[in-house]
Amino acid sequence: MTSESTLSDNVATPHKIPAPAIAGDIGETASPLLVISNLSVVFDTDDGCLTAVDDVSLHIRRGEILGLVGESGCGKSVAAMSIPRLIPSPPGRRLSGRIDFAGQDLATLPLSRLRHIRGNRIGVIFQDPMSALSPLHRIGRQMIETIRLHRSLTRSAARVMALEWLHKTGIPNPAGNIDAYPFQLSGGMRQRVMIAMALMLEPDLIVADEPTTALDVTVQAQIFDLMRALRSRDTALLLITHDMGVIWEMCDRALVMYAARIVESGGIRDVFRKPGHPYTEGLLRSMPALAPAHARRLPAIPGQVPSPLHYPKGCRFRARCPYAMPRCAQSIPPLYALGDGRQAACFLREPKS
Amino acid sequence: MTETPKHKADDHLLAIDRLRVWFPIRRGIFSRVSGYVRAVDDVSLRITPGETLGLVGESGCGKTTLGRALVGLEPVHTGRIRFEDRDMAGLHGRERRRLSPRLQMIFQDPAASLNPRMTVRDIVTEGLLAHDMIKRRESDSEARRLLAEVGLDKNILNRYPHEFSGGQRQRICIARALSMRPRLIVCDEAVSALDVSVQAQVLNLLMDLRERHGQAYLFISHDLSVVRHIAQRVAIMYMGRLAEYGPVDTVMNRPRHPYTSMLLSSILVPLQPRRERIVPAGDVPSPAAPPAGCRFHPRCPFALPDCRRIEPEPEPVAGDPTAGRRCACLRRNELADDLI
Repeated sequence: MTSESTLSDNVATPHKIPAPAIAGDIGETASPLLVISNLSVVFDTDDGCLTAVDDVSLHIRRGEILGLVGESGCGKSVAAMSIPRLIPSPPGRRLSGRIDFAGQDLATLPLSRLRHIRGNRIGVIFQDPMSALSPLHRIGRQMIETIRLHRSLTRSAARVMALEWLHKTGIPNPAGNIDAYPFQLSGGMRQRVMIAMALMLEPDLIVADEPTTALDVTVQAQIFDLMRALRSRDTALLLITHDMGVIWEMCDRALVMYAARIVESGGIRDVFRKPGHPYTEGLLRSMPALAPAHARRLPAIPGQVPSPLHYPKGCRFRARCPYAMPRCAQSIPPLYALGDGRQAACFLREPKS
Repeated sequence: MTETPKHKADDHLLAIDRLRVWFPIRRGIFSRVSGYVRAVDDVSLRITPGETLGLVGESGCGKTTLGRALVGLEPVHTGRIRFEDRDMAGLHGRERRRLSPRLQMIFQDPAASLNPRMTVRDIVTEGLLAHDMIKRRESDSEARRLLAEVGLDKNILNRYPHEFSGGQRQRICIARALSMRPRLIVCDEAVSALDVSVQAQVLNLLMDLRERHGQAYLFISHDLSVVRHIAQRVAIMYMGRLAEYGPVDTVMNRPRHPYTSMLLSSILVPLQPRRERIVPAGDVPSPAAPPAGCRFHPRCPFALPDCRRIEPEPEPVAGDPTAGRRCACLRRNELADDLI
């Protein structure tokens, strides 16, 4: 990819929607399953108040696979885990924002009602199944407990259902392994159990936080095939990852986060072919898999992510950005609409009036 | 590799012959050895001066154990490790220490491999002082020189590891390894824990240093796209044995081992059409009880009955003139068209 031509090409592209986009800018008429508007989350630490998520808005439609990508510490996991309200508080604190899911604001819903949604209508797959599963209980018991919490089934009927899902997720010998403890299974098998638990109640939304990062590449391929095959057509998937390869492989649409803010969103092909934000462009150019054969140096992004305790004024990427202008130091660029439901938070994308 | 005509055996910086690193499994109150985990099993490898050999495999395949055995961190069961024409496996004490500066290692987790109570200056000059390579009064200037070499600010001498980001810490580790003027650096997943943008910076640094000083790397990684970028040759490891090795382009463009092909097809490359995948069945079996015959046969879609009996050795591939190319598969000469 050539950086400058890509960006200037984009600048010249006529914008179909001139006004800056607002939350839930939807290309289609179907109303989205989930809308997050202006979510901000901070953590109170000994060193001060740390901004984890800053004014993030996003939406997911039914059946859609949305990727949330960014480097470690960018706030992607905090944003996603705020949906089922799994951020421990304290130290976490939601400063503002709504999380509209099926007509209710999850951000303020009483815990007793939220419990009917967690696991039942929103399934969660964590990166490390070892810390998400109880080490003291057999996997079957954990599955049966979850099923019976949300469905009025007898213990034996729930066990049949658990067995069926272990079989569907490719666990060998389900009848034998249903009584195994998590430590007795391999990493790939534990992740399959997690997926079975997230899928078995057929939720509307699955939040998957780096579901394959801890796994080997060949097992990752198996898990992705499985997630694609088992997801019912209406289930939406929010996939959090640091790996642009995973986004390309799995998602319909991607949101790129940098330093607690969304800097770009759009359909996969657009984001990869013509990145709208210099950070996305730099991220793609840093990938060895995309480097031309025998290119000696990778065009790395210089410098490092600023500390979330002291984000600089203005655009947080500007110290690493090859296109930075004086203006970037003065204010944070808003998300500008680029047409086709695309957005980028960069002054280079500001519609010319 | 030995068959490359240009290099005679003594041109090798490192020659590993039939190396075994077996870990005993002890049972019962008398701790009787009831078996072995064969982490590295009969592996032979060569590294010539200045070259980068990528060692690739999934977790548990023995690649890290192999790297650790080279620098003396794991005991060698049988086999030979010759480094600069000295037998490392037989050396102990002072003799071993005399050779060790020239063979350095960088680990995956820089936070765990830096002493949190030592300043950056002490970290990067500790080895030099221990081996009397510099005088104490020279340590400041030497530390500054090393930090400049790895792209760090010279004024951080009195700071501690926790004050730095992951990428910066890895640079400190590289400076420490470099201080000994090594001829070979074992990089064990040295960039795997870093974010993509920082990973690219550190890869660039490793390549710059190679150009400047001419040291060789054994680059251990699970990531084929990183290895393709940095290495000239690659060895694919599976369950303690080498499945296939040779020049990077040859092995990656024309794999002859089904396992290599599967690893390649599981790299996710953006902007490429999603490829038809060969996904191996199941998980890696336990290394304490490796399958008989070819260790890959239970997961291999091309396995024949013979694969269950015969354990293949790395052998040249018919019709492929590339020097130094070997593949440990009984069907290596017939599968070319089935593998991507």
